[in-house]
Amino acid sequence: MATREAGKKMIMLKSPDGMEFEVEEAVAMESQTIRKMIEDDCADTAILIPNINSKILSRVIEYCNKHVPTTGATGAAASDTVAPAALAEDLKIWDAEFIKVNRATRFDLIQAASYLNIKGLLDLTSQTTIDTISDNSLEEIRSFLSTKNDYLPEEEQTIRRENQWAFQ
Amino acid sequence: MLHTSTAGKSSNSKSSREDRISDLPDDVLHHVLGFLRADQAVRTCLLARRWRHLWKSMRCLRINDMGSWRKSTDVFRNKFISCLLLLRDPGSTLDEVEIEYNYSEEYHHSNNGGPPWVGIWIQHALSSRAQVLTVKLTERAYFYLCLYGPLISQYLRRLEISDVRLKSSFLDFSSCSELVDLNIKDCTLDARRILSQSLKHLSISGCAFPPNGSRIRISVPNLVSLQLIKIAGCCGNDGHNDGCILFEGLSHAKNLELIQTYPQMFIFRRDLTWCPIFSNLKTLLMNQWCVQPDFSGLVCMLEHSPVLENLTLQLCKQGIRKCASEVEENPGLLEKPPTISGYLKIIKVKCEGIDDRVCKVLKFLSTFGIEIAIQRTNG
Repeated sequence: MATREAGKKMIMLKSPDGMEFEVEEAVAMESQTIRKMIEDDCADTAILIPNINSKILSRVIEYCNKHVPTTGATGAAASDTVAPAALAEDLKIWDAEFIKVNRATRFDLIQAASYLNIKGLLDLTSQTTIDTISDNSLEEIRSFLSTKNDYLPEEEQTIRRENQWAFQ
Repeated sequence: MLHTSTAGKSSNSKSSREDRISDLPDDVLHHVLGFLRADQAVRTCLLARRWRHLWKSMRCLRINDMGSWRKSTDVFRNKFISCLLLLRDPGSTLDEVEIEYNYSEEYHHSNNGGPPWVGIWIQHALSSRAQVLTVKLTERAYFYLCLYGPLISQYLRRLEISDVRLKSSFLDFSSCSELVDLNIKDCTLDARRILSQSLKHLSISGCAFPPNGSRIRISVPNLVSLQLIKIAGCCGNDGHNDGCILFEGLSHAKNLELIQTYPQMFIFRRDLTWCPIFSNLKTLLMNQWCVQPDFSGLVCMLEHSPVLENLTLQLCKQGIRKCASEVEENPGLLEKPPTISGYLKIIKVKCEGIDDRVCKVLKFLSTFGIEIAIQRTNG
């Protein structure tokens, strides 16, 4: 859990299963949803994050911690000398490790990223999901996504006809 | 693929056997679908009822000829892209449109509605409020596909375009009030001017100007960074007394990156003759053009930047080999120039190694009495 640092405002995030996470305001504001709450002054003591359990919330915070822009207060901080390209490369490697999770966790993360409106995390989780189904047949995609085909055969034919321009 | 195998494994566990993805709200799935190639995204309509209309609202259209699309005909592609755009839910949010594929030659010889569609797709994407637009059509299109402007959009933030001829007022972005990023690659710039009040980052690479010698005027007063890479056919008539090509339009910039990698291109040096005062310039990055063949480029920029705070010189080795000209030691220029910004605090030199040339530059910079940070770069 984060410790209070001098001069940095902290925010308390609570998950529905009762866990509390103290994070820097800047980190919490990686989420546009939380940013809005803070800016609208709806965040006095603690913010309850509904629908996101502590396991997922801690992972989301981990992501935000990594992705919060490093602000060199003095301007000429050490981070200033690191080329932005190298930094982006580091983040990419970190992201790739971060997203090595099972499918259930990934869907939880998509949902959390969507609710909290964290674009980077939503992009990462979406891209990873898409990578698993890209260039596969419909049947394979269905099985990867565990989606059940609930079309009647004639219905399926109609939809094929309707969108024939997309099928070669 | 790694992802495939993990997905396969986890499908054995109980929790993932449920159809979790279909439980996600529509707007999340619209986002997720945007990561698929457009043709695959449309085909998800056959997955299940839940998916039937989702593609019509996906937030990003990625049209490129990877995978099975590579083999499709131009007729199929044209129809596909038109249907994709027309059948969208008109109320849905569109973030990004990427059109990137190989036009085959059949259109070169016929007039059956090939390349001209590209202009219409672009307009349609803009009227659907796309914020990011990428159009890449590979070399073959370059010879015959012309795009005319001006583009009109209050939403477009980033435009990337390659391998086409940009005609008349295409580069007049006065009606694109939010455009900040413009990246033009391998195009013929057959336009009179590049105009934008909002543009912050401009990159032009591998482009050619038309041979008739007419000049392109750039007026982008809010520009922060400029990259000009491998530009052919410009500044042929260096002696002509018709003023400043680039710098005039950049004179209000606060941050500038002046990177020139093509030795034949002497646009920066030429412009120095008419160098304006960069009255807002705080951060300046330049590469070797400003110290070759002598330091006059560097000196001139410094003398015309009265409030400069931060100077970075990027001296790469590769450039010097191409340039074939060494830094000349000009004794007259080795003293501190009389008028440099009193605000200058940070000088940074990036180089691959400390060679003779770098030493000379450092020696010159040291006359300013300001600490110099040296950063080694690789390759």
